[in-house]
Amino acid sequence: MRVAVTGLGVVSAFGVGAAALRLALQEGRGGLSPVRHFDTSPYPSRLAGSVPGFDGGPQRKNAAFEFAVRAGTEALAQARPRGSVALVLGTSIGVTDGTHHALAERLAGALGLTGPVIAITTACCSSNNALGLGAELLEAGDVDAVLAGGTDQITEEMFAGFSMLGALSAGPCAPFSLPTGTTLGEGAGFVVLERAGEAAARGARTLSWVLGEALSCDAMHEVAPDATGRGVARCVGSALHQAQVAPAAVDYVNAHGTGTAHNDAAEWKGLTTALGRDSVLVSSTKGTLGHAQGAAGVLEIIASLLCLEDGRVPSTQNFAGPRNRCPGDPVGQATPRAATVQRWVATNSAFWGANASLVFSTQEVPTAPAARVRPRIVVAGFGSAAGTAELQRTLPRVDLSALDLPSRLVTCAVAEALGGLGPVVKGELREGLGLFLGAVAPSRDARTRFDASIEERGMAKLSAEAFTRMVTSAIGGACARLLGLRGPFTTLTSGFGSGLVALACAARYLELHDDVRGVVVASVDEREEPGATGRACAVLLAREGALPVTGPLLEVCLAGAGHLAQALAALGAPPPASTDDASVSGSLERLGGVLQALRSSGGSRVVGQSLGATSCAVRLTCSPENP
Amino acid sequence: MNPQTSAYLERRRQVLAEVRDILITRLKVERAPEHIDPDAFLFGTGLGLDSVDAVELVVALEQRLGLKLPEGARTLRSLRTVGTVIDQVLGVEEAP
Amino acid sequence: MSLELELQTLRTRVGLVENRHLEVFRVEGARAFEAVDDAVPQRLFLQDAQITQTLLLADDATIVADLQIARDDEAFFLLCEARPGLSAEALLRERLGTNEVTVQPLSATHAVWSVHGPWAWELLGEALGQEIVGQPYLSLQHVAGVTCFRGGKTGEFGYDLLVPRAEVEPTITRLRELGVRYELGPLSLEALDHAALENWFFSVRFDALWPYTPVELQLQWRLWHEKHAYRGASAVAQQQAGGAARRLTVLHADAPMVAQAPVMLEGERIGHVLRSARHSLGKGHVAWAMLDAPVAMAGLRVQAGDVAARTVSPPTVQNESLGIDPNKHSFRYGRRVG
Repeated sequence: MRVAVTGLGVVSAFGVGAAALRLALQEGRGGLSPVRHFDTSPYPSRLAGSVPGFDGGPQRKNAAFEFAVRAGTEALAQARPRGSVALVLGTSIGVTDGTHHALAERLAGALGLTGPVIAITTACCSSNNALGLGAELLEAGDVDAVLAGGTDQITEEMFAGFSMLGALSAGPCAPFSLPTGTTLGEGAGFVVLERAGEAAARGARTLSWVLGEALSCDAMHEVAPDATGRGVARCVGSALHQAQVAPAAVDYVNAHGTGTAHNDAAEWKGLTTALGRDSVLVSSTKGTLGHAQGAAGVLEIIASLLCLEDGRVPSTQNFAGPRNRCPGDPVGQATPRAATVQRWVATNSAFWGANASLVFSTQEVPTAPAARVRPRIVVAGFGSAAGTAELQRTLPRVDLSALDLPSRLVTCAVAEALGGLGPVVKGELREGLGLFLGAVAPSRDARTRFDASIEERGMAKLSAEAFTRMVTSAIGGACARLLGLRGPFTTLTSGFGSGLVALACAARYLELHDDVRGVVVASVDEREEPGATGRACAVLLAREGALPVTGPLLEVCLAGAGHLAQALAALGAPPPASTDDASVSGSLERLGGVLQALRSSGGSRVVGQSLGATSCAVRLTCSPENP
Repeated sequence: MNPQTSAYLERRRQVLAEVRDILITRLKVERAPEHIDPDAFLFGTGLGLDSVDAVELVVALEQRLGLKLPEGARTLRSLRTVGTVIDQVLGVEEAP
Repeated sequence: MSLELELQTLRTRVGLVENRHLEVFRVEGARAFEAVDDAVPQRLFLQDAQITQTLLLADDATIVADLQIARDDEAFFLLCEARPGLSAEALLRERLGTNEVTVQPLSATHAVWSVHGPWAWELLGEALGQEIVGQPYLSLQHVAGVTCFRGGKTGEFGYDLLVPRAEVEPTITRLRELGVRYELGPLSLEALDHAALENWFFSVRFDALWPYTPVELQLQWRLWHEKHAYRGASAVAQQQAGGAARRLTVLHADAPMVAQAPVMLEGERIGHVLRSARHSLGKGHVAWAMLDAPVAMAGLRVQAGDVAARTVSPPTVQNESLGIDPNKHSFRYGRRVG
């Protein structure tokens, strides 16, 4: 992968703009200050990395959007990309104003972007995940340029949730040091990504190069990471593999480093495993910026890019000596440290065990010599689930008891799609199978319990359990954990088109990662009325020949809003008559129908969808060897 | 039986019923009330709760029984079994 | 070494013991899950590397073995302690059947050494690798050539190491060498069982418990109510439906209590003492007693034989391990608790 970063924009604890952040970092200033827009007295911490100037009023309510408009505008102004620009936005629980994809579509409108619009929500690694997906869309040739990044805002709900989880530090966040615990942050960051060759050809200034990216899932616990660090190691290892960068060649790691006891030790274990050595230049900017949730990854990448331009790496502020099982010298000082860095890694981890890693280069890298043959992707299984009753009977050996309805539905559909591989994935397959979920909101049960707990006991004592499910990625997270899916894991939200968009993105991921065998793509609808049910669908995609099951060949094409005809034409199909279907799982369900029809008739069929801001076309072909 | 003793036993049974109900309805312990042993371990072993559940348990207890547990009672050290939770609520002297 | 010294070691430092009474078996095969699931009373929803605790019962629901099940990818480790006089292997084979799974006893090829105590994690972290320190309770990990099961029945940090015979000598030598810094001492089975009694952990070697069922012994959490096919299931169901007439309860007294002594409440006999022990930290005496269910509750003043006692909620030890945070504390570097 050779993707150029040609622009960046940021809103952080140091205010609007990259210049403000750069100066603060250079001067070794801290960004954590007492929160002013709500009363912090019920909580163990008063501190956060709040964006100055957004302390109250109507601006506060839409802060995540306001941050994003400013950061996106700055990035686009610097890069001035040509052609149709896609938006890949990562965001998490701070966004309470409508759904994530609504925010993404509003942002694309405000910034005048005409390419596909995709929102990603994998909690604390959302924005890192967004950069990776953006790079894939470029590498696959789907788009001309991508504005990728994330935005999130501090809310009292978030503060209370972290407080009830016991994850807030009493002092300022001290990654890899003491006291343990994190400090929250907020802001937005965006980068403009383009194919390296095209950026160079149009004379754009390239700030850095993305060489690789990967996702993985611990599939262990809702909040605690796998203490063995295997999930992090697999993620970083996969990104390095894709980047064709040897572990020994990594000069610097910008770690997630939240400051919590569980994260820092597990992450450090994972990093040293992936890199095959006991030490590496590593730091975390959480002590400077706070933990900005959905925006954390991209803020940290931008902080790193700004320091690296000066030949330095960011420091880990508030460091007061190493903690057990953590790096001894994580650049524990106020100001950045001079270092020679060519290849570096940025990694983040999140609730429900999601991990996302990126590999960057500070210097141009010659294009990989061998022209890659795009591997063929097959649809190797399909499953669906509806209603509430009798779900346990379909999976007698899997404990569905603790799952909320959408997780239950997804788990049953995914298990059916896995079919011949066994409902619970075993052995080496676990590491090589992932889950991409299309969904639009957290479960109804999570929202009900969350709201009820606030109503009954007050904000400061809200239900921590419900809080962990207020991230939309909880739906897939519970499924991945139960079924043992430890490969790439993400949740995409593009409104009613989420299912098909997730399918397209999963296909791209598989094409670009030869260490992954398959991805189950699922989508779920939960009816809003009390007592009502829902439905879920799942499709197993596989790299051709990588799994002992197979099926029709899959081709996908993504385009911007209103460009369905163009997407269909790319696959050689005529414009559609009507493609509307007002449900998230509808698109995958239709695909299931097509699969069935193909099984009897053979041949080739195209399914298209243009709902929300993304058009997506999919072609399924039965070849003689793939009946 | 001494009426004081009977009253104490009755009160203890009531609190046991409350704690069992909280475990089932709030903490997703998938067992019938009478299958939750009065001295079952809560965390790790036994009923297998984790630290996220500990906070939930304390908050639910205080809300349900309309009382405030002493600060020292909020740690896992004092909430080891169903019985130690009841001891905290009733102010019964702990084991050594 | 005296029992007192061993308990001191166990409660405040680290102890090491070859755990000959714990027999380990590996169950493999395409239907390993189904075979184990059908054989045991506990539900078997385990994530990889997780351990669950259960029992093996006779038809009358009395307990014949204490069993831990650890999932290792597609296979299972069964850690079994059979009632003295019974064969763990025979009990397991009888329940597992042999048609579609292989049951491999590992005692011929491996030894089990156990490390217990508030600082066990630190010693093992140094000896085997820092990943031990982060290992969750009730999980297994393959590290440095051994399989490490974290569990224990003492209330302190506890690890059972499954070591290939050829590796025993170097592994244990290294533990003893590094153990000097942690004041590592030897432990006996007697010390482990003493700690189990104080900490409310069942031991299959407590012969006074043999006539009783998991419902009476407060071990229902080791069973799953939706399972009906295991041996003893119908006796359990019958007793659960009727409600047990008696229940195991813990007593505390300043003076020693005697097994078989009657337990009296306000002049009425409510049960009898099963087993008693001196508190290892010098805090009087602890006993397990079988009491009539309606009064089997903590907080009562009773007579245990001639001794004034009170019923208490177990466990009867505030374990030092509970206060230890491996991120902050260290025995080796003198950063103790408190």
